[in-house]
Amino acid sequence: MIQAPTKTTDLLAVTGLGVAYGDPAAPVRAVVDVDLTVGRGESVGIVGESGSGKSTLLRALLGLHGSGAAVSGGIAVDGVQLAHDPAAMRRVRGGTVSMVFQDPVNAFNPAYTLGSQLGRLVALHRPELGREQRRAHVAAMLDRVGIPAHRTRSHPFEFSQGQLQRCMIAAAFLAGRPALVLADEPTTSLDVTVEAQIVELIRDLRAELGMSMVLVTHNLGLVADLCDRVHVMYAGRFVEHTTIRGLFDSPAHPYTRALLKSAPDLDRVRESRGSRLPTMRGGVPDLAAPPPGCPFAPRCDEHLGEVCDRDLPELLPVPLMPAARTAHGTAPAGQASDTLPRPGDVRARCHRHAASALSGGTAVEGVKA
Amino acid sequence: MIRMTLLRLAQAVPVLFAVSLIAFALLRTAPGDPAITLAGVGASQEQVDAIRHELHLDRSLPEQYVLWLQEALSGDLGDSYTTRQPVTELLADRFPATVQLALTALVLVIVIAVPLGVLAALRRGGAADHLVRILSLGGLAVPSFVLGMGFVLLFGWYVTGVWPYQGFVAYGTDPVEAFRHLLLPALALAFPQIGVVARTTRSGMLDVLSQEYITAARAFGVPERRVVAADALRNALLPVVTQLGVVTGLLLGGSVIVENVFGINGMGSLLVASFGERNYSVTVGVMLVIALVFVLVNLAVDLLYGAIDPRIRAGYRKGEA
Ligand SMILES: Nc1ncnc2c1ncn2[C@@H]1O[C@H](COP(=O)(O)OP(=O)(O)OP(=O)(O)O)[C@@H](O)[C@H]1O
Ligand code: SF4
Ligand SMILES: [Mg+2]
Repeated sequence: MIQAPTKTTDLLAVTGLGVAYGDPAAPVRAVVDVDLTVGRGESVGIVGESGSGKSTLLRALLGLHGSGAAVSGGIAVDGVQLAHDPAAMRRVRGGTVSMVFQDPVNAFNPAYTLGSQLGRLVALHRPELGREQRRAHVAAMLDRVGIPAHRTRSHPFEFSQGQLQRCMIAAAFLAGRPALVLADEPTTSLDVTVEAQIVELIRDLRAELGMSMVLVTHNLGLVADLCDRVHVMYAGRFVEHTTIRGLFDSPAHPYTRALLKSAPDLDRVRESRGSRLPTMRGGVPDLAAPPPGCPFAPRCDEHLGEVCDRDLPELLPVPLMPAARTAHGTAPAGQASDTLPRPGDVRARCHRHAASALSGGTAVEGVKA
Repeated sequence: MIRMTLLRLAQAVPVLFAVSLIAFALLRTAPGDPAITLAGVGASQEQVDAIRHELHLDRSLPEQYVLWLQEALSGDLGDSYTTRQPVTELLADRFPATVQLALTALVLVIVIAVPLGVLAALRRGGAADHLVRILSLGGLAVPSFVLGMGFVLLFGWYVTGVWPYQGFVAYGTDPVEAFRHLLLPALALAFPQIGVVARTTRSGMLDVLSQEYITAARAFGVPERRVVAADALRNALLPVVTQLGVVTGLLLGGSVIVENVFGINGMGSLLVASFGERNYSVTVGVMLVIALVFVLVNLAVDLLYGAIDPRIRAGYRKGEA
């Protein structure tokens, strides 16, 4: 079991994480030098285009990368280092840290009933329960996510996608007592009305049980709805870290700005929730042979010239920026996600900020709505 | 499940009907006049005519078929042209040896090939993986009768008195001796199939192990052993079960020659002997029994399929079959 947590340690502390696929001589570096911390009860989003390495990162956190991937760096849960300790990694799986999969239809075993699949998870993570209590717990789990308890005897193919995603959420949030739930595009496979219900369910369960979450998605609306902070990922690296308000009101990195260009503002994103990341010119660089300088350089509208093509920028704190898109007034109070970034909250991987940080001036002038 | 069984049985009727037609056609188009053969050398024309009447050979072909089918359904397949013994009696005599040989071979295929295929999938490029490749090549290169003759030569000539290499003992009589006697012929019979089934198991496992529900089971903390045994194997067995149906047929077919090599008095040796003597009533009897067994094996495969895959059961419940 995990040792009693000390207040000072973060629930999840990832340092310098790298994941490389394939031939070690010419690896596809899907995740490079990622630092990520998640506090207790906190919800952190990771957004980025398809192929930016979000799923790879999330799976590596639980050691679920296949044998073809090499993982480096540190992954600590509750202060216990798991990265190179498969046994310790297995101990947290499903119990302390659980996962919601993108495609619930393929994430349940087609050969077994839902009841037996959930029952065995309860047996694993709540061994103190007897047979009858276990059955009752499974029924209560299903009931909590809005699936009639008698459906325990149905097989996965007898459920709709939305129902299965509810079952998946029951498995991830309620089978054990997770301190952290990792969610990989939990609503991408669902239609918009079902998506809204699932978001509601996840939010309620987190409010009730207080677990932390890492949410990976293309969907800015989902991040706005469910997260406190967000990392923007590009070509395997984190290129910006900010608060939700910061993301929408004063995006620091040129890539983040490009992402937001066609996306509506935060309040409208909240209402519609439908906004996926817009497509933008060019594609993600070849992760097997990334360009020497800034990976975003070939697509960047704010390119600074030689320095961008030559040197990889570091992820540095960005001085507080004028909130350029706050024209819509303040959102309901009390939500962490609505707070404007404080000094030190925002970091970006861009030479523009390195320059402005050095010169001590305020941030980039190029934030145009 | 009951509905499924009945449906499947009903579907077997046309197959059996077709087989009966082919068998009858074979019986009537085979060279030689069965009445003359049965009557024996030096029989009078009256005797031959009497037999011809008894065999309904004086009727039209459709009438002959109907009468023949009626008799076959009531368990009368006629008499052996040579010994005059009822064919059904001969079959009942020979059937157990063949079934016990084929079943022993089938069990050998399953207990060797399935674990081997699983191991090969779990450790690609490992020892089991290489063995699977060697066995599938070897199975193609070395037919059952060659391996069987090798066994006979080995235990009948080089290391005598160690292991029985001829004859048959029924499991009902003496299980240990039966197994000892059947091991070599069953191994010879099974050998070409082991590599094939192991490869199917291996690729089935590889396919299933890459599925998201396997990753999900691991993510939820299911121990690796159970991920392999409960989650992966059950789904990987579907293609294996299908193939075992085919394999059973091949084992029955292969027994024709292997029985002769090992001096086992089964259906196979009966078939070979009857064909050589133009004893077609017996030949056709053997064919019919083999066809019946095929149908039953297919039924068993379908039922197993339903037991493994709930979607198939549900299909039958809804009548989508
Ligand atoms: N098993 C694998 N073997 C080799 N390369 C892989 C493997 N899985 C992913 N990749 C590569 O790693 C990169 C990141 O993939 P990943 O699935 O993590 O991206 P993602 O951000 O989750 O994308 P999406 O939004 O489409 O799910 C891609 O270039 C992908 O081709
Ligand atoms: S470093 Fe240069 S190319 Fe890269 S995002 Fe910043 S401005 Fe654009
Ligand atoms: Mg993904």
